[in-house]
Amino acid sequence: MAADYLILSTTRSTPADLASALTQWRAQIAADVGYVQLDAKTFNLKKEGSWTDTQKATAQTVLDTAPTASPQLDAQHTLDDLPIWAKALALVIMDELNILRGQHALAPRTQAQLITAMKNKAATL
Amino acid sequence: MALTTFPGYTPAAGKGIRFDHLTALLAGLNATGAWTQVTYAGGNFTGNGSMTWTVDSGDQLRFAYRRFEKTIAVLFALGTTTVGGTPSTDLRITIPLGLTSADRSQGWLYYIDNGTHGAGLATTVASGTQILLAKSGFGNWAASTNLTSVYGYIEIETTN
Repeated sequence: MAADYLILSTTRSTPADLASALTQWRAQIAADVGYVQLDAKTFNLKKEGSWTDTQKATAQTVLDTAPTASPQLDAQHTLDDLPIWAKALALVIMDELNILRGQHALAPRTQAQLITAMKNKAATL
Repeated sequence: MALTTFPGYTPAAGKGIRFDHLTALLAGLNATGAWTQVTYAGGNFTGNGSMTWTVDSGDQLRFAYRRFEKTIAVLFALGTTTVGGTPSTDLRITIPLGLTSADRSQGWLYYIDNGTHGAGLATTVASGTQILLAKSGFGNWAASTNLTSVYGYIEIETTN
């Protein structure tokens, strides 16, 4: 099976959040979809195997309807791939907090809960 | 505009330079300024160590060179490539025409490393036959499926 490419253009007036678009392309079309942006409104998508008409339409819809890129979304995506120093900072604070929670018979917070809370906070900033 | 002279050359009275002769001369010197596209070959693209770099033919958006005497200029735009194996520091492009770098060279590199944008360095080393692409800080390239792109330009002094 050979790689196949799809050139997409969008008429949207705001830049798409491409991390969100990629997640949707991979969920709805194929797990190996990749892309490179050729200019502000043109994208070259790639995957193994030919693009069907349905897949082409889905890819276009995802691009056209993806959320607008924003600092809040950028922050949320970054939280999925924190550098080690940032993880260490957050986890040390959480460990200390969990010691205090334990003294009050409260269940410890988990790393997943911490990340979710940080994403929720980022969305409000 | 008619081409009738150039610095250092004075045509005989009443004579000019035949444009086709001049063009042929410049072509012979590889001095026309024309860029030559490198025919796709997967083997032109590798990773160092046990890292693999898969560049499909459609990924080669541009890979071209311009040569004059012992200098070759190379530009490349490679999109939606795949990095696998054991992550390491260099993606590597074979210098066109089988040429060898005479010394160190540095050029610019812009990259998208598994979706993360950055600026790095394209280099060659003495006696090297490849252009080495290094990320900012010379960190490892991330494993990716169709999500690594590199764009760059470098001028290389060659041994012949």
